[in-house]
Amino acid sequence: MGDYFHGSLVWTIEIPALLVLVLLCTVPVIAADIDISVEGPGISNWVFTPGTTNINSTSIILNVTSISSTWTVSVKDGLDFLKPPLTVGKMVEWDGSAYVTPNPWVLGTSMGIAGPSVPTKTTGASVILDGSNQIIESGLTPVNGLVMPLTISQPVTFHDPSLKGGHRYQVVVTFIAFAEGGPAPVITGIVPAEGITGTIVTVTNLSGSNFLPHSVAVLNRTGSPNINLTVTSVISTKMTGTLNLAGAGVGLWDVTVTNPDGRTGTKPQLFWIKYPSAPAIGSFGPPSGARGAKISIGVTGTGFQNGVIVNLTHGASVITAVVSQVTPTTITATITIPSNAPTGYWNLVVTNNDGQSAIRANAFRIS
Amino acid sequence: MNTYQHVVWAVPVTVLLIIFAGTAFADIPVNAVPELAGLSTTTSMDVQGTAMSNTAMNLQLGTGMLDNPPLENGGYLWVWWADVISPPIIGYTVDPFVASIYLLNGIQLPLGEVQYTAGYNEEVTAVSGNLIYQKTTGISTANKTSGEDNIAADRILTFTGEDGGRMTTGEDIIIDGTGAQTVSGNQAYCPFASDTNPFFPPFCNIAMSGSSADISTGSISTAAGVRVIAASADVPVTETYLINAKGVTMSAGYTNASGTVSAFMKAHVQEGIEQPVPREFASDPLGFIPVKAEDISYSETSAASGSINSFAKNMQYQSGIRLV
Repeated sequence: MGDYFHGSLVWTIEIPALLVLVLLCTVPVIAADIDISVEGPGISNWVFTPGTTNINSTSIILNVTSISSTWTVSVKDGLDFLKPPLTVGKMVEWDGSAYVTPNPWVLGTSMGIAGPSVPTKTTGASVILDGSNQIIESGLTPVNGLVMPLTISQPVTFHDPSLKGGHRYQVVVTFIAFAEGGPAPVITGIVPAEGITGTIVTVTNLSGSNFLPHSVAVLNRTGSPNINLTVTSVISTKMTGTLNLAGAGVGLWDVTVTNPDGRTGTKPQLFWIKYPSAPAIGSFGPPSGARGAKISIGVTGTGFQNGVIVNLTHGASVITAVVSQVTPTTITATITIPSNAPTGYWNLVVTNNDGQSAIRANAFRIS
Repeated sequence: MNTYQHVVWAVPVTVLLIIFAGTAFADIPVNAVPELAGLSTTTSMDVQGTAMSNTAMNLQLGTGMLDNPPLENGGYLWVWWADVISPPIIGYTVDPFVASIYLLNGIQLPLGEVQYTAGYNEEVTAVSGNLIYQKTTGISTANKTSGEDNIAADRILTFTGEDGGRMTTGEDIIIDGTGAQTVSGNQAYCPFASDTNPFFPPFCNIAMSGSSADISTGSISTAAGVRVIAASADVPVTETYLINAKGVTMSAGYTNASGTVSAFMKAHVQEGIEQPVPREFASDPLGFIPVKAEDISYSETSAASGSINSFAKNMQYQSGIRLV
């Protein structure tokens, strides 16, 4: 994953008295022009001194009437975590965390995290109750820019029976941020390289390079909606997942991988969506025709689809039939034999619009 | 003076029946042309001295143009493959889908050609004796049913020679039928005629029968007939010939026939069957290929010479999808 570090913004709620809470920021923070606000019911007043250069020892004292309320703690502007410098073009990962009191408790917070070295792309975030693996909120919208507000807005009821009142638990806000300017993904292959329309295909190896966590892949082609790869795993050289081909159009599709920073890589016509069966020719006629003649022909067999193409071939010469009627087992078509067509036996080729074809040698004789 | 007399008291009385029947092996009669023709004659003579008579009849009829070989097969030509590696097989079909393709090309279903030639010849010469001769002959191009013939000839000859007088007579009737593969569906009323196959297989059959006699005394009756024209294939093609030779009753009583009498039948029967074309898929048209499946050569002759009490032979060739 390249260079990364874990930064944190930790709040501790102390309950020294029933109606007085103390919020402690336990992480060393250089706060230049820091602006913190606390809003919520039951707060009679709160104390914080703006302009403090280091708030890790600063208390925010809340006078509240009840602890079963929703409070919004906003930290805005000017935070600079104590962290090593970032390397542009590499992926970095950030963590945020805060202490909260246990059940019952409804959490409503918003946080602003900013700094001169924070990368410009984020993937969104999830809020997890640390130590219990309970997800409080996930799928938060990714944003661009140096400020990434996270709003934990939904009421939360803790389900973990191991949680106990009077204890402190940590809420971990995780997100991944990416710096712009990294290499674009490159696709070299996909296994399997084909699938049957209407089925679900498990992709065991979408191979390439420069894939990133949260990279996405799709099958795409002009005029058709994309088919998303539901990713199950990603490493820099391989993605796995499933493709739902329900209703998918047949034929060759491009494969495109998009990294979280927006860079894409495409390999054209890499994946083949087919009908369940290839066409097969069982019989054909009439057996012969004369140069210059326009004749109707018929083909019987199996697996014929609308859009099927019927060709007669003789070496490099090709006569394409005009198909007028198709059933799964019959094709009716018309051919016009050029006056200079080579005489002799011609091959019959039937090709469905998914690219699957059948050929019969010496099916038609031109005299 | 010793006199040698060769006497035959017991001579062949034979009934010969050659039958070919069924949809796999059978002659298929031709239908009558719109304009029908028929000729018939009756001859009667009672002659003391010299007499002669001869008859020649020939009938040729087909479902297509005569004398324009080869005969056209019935059905539509089509190409099949038995599997993915086998070479193409060309056969015939009456499948509705195939018919729709050919009709788009303006081609109606070819029914297949059949052509028949039938003939009858007869001659009689009598010198120095009394000849009583009755003959009826007929030829018709109309459709016939069972029991009727397109060529028919019945004769009765009674000869009593005097002073070395003799009568010689010869007679033969022939049926020569050839048919390509024909579509069976519209040719037979019998609903079972085409239940296994939409085609009647090709055939090439010839049968000839007749007799000859050289007698100084005797009475001979013959009946010959051929049927090749019928409204449907339900009526079999037939050739019948029978001869009965006996002595004569004179004032001194019954006297055996004296001389030589012979009768024969020859046939060469070549019949085909319809082999199904192997199909890869059940939805492919049913197809058939006509192949030769039977070859029969038959020849039989019976003769009596000397004093002949009785000589009788009844021969019949019958071929069709049903027999009578």
